[in-house]
Order: sequence, then C-alpha cells, then structure tokens
Amino acid sequence: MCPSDDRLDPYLENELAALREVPPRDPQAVARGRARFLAEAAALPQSVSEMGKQRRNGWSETITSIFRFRKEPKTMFAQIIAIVMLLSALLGGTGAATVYASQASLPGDFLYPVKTWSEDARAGLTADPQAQLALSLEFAERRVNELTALAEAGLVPPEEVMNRLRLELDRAVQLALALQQSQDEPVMEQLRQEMQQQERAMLNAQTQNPAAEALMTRTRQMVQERLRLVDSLLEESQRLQDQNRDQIQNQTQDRDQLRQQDRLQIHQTGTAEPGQAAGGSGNSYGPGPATSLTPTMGSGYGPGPKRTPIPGGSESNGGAGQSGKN
Amino acid sequence: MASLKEEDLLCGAKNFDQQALAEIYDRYSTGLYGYAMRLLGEVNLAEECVAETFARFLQALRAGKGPRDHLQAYLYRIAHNWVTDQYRRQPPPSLALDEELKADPNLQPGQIVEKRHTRERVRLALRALTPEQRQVIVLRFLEGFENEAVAAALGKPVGAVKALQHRALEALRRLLVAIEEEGNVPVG
Repeated sequence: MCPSDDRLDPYLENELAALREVPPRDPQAVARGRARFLAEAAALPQSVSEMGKQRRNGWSETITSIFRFRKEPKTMFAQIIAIVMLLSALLGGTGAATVYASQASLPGDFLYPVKTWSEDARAGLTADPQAQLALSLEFAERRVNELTALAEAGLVPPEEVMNRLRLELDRAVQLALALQQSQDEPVMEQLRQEMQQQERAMLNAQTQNPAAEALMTRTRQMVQERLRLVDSLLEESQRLQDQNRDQIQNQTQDRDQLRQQDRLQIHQTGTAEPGQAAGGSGNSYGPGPATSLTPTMGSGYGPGPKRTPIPGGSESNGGAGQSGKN
Repeated sequence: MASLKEEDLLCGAKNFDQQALAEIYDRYSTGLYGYAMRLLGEVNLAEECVAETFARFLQALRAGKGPRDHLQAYLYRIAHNWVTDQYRRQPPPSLALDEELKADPNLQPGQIVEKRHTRERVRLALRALTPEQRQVIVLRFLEGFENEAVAAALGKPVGAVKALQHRALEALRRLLVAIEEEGNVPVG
C-alpha cells in the first residue's frame, strides 16, 4: 500500500488496517450518483450565461428583487430564495442549505422529498395562472429529466415520478385551457410543443434495463394520451374560430344584400332613399324644394268646380244641353 | 471510452463534455467513497460526501476554476474539507452492525465487536488530529497516495509533507494509546 521508504511500525499498521476494508459500495447508489452528476453537468453550461447577467448586478439586486412589487410572476430563482429564507427563519441555516442542495437530487436520494416539497411550496406561492402554467411545465420537465437520467443509468425510476409527471401535465392542460379562453395567447400550442419535446427526450433515452424501459414506454404512452387531448382541444379551438369567422362573413354578406335590395326598390318606386333628396341636392331632412308634385288649384286635388245636375238628363257632361235645345 | 490521460479528462471536463465527466466519476468516485467511509463510517454520509465533492467540482468548473492538474488530489481535497466540516457539525456516527457484516460476513460476533471497537478508536484518534495531519495519514497510509500526490492535495512542498507526516504519526500513536487507556481522547 505505502512505499517502502516510510513503512508504518507494526502497532500503527495494525491499528490503521482496521480502516482499510470498507463495505462494497451499492451499485445502485453508484449509478444514481453518476446519473445525478451528469444531469447537473448538463444543466450547468446553460446557467453560466444566466448567472453572468445577474453577476453584474450583484447580490443586492437579487435580494431586493425578492421583495419588490411586480406585476410579473417571480422568477424561479427568487422563489427558491424566498423559500430558502423562510426556512432559514424557521429552521436556521441547515434547513435552507438542505433545500438548496436538494434541487439536484434524484428520486431515491435522501434529499429528494425535500425537492418535491419545495416544488409544492413554490406552486403554493404562485397565484398568477400564467406563472402556474410555467411552473407546471418546469416541474414536468424536471420529472422527465429524472426519469431519463435514472433509466440511462440502468435504474428503474419509481412509479411516483411518473404519477407526478401526470399530475403536472394535467394541471398544465387545465391552466392552458383556461388561459386560452380568457386571453388571446397561443398557450395550448406552446404546451403541445413542450410535451412533444418531453416525449422525444424519453424516446431517445437509452437503457439496458428492461423494467426501466417498460416504465418509460408507459410514461411515453401517458404523455401521448395528453398530447392527443391537446391536439383535439386545438382542433376544437380552430373549428370554433373558423365557425365564428364564417358567421361574421355571412352576416356581412346578408347586410350587403339587404342594402342592395333597398337600393333597387327605391329606384323602381321613385321613393327618395334616405339621405338622397328626390330631384335635387341636399339632405333628406326638412321640406325640400318645391316641385310639380305640390298640389295647386285645379290640379286634381280638392273638390274641383261646382256642377249643377240636369233633371232627366244623364250624369254626363257637355252634349245634354245641346240635345235639349234640339 | 478508452482510458484517457488526466489532462485530457480535465480538458473535456472544462468543456462539460459528458464522456469526460462520466470517466472522471467512474475513475474516482469509488475511491472517494472509501475515503469518506473510512473516516465517517456511515454509508449515507459517505455517499453524500461523494455527491457533494462532485457537485463542488462542477461549481468550480462553472466558475472557470478547477484544477490544472492532479485531479485526483484536487477531488480528495474537496472531500477532506467536507469531512472536516462534517466533524464540526456533529459527533461521529457509530458504525451499524449490519454494515460490519457486509464488510466481512465470515467474522464471528466476538471478532465483529473487537474490529468495530478498533475502528471506532482509530476514527476517534484521526478526528482528534489537525486536519492536515489527518489528511496526510489517510492519503498516504490508507489511500496509498505517493508523496507528490499528497503534496498536491495539501498544496505544500514534498519536504513539508514529509515533516508533517512524521509529526502526524507521532500524534496518532499518542492518541491511540491514550484512547485505549482512558477510553476517550485526552483533554488538552
């Protein structure tokens, strides 16, 4: 074990020998630790650029931003810090550090329940539906990453992870549906894209463990079912939009036809169309200009000239007097 | 992946290359587990030590730091610091009986108790050393590091490490004898 130039004396050699043997490491723990390490590494390069932006502002900006009033939902980082600070107040530094450390844990790890608890706490702190949807999608992505990391490490992910993924996706669908109805934003389409990515990530996961593969297949089927639901909701939404558009188009056409019919009728009867004075300019209000249609004496209106009836004669005019002279 | 040189692994790790990082984990995690297990005697703590060591390694890489060479020594230094913090936080955990049995199922109950007693005594003595003394003894005589590697882990010249090693062994002997006689670490 050690080089010959500094050998231990027999007493120390004997004492230290008691520590040389250690129980073999659990292969599942090795696989889990390896998967977690690689998952953390895969997530890190992306966070470098994000941290770079914050680093310029310093910690004071981060801390003050937690308490600042804002219309937009809190960022993930601020929410975690808020939970950590809350725990610091309740439990001291150890509890807060535990929550922070738990964020990289995988199912089966000692700290994993802390991770899921902190997620529930974050969801509970979020009131805005848009932010709730973003959280559900983030947590769903976490579950998919956990499933693929464990499966690729040859481990069988616990059923609980799939169940949590199902819950997050169902919540996301409900929120997207509500947001789709109240806002003019393509949230359902975004949800569909996210779910497609998750399904692809699980499809690409390579595992040598048949039990893990079976669970991944079931999870993918579960995601596919929800994808079909989202597709049908999108189709229904599109159908309603088309229906509304057709209805508006038909109403416009009907109105145009009615106007056209009115114009034709006016033209045929000579009735002044509203807004168009007969035979002259000006608007349709007021008496309008004098025309030949204005009644005058002897023009046919009124009682006319007085006639004296002839006894025994006909009611006809003219020749009766003459025939009497004859 | 074929066995890569340490400098290639470090280069890959700095670029967050998954294959290089996986190779680093496969190469060093079991040794780190053994190191933590010897000092702490508890499986969960040893696993936590390994996980934290690799997490801190990643944080260093992200910050553009991390080792230029002597990767193994660097990882053991992180693990050593974590164990020292653990010592400060809580009293030493006792080794559960089933873990002893896992280590050697052929032992008789009397031998198990005797071996357990010796382990606890050595752990107690190591814990009572200064962090540097403890590190030099564990790395040199339990992990089998060469002097140069121990020097890299401690960040000291080889000559200084040899002198430290000499003082550490003397201190360890005194402590072991005292614990055997008095049943505990002598005060002062």
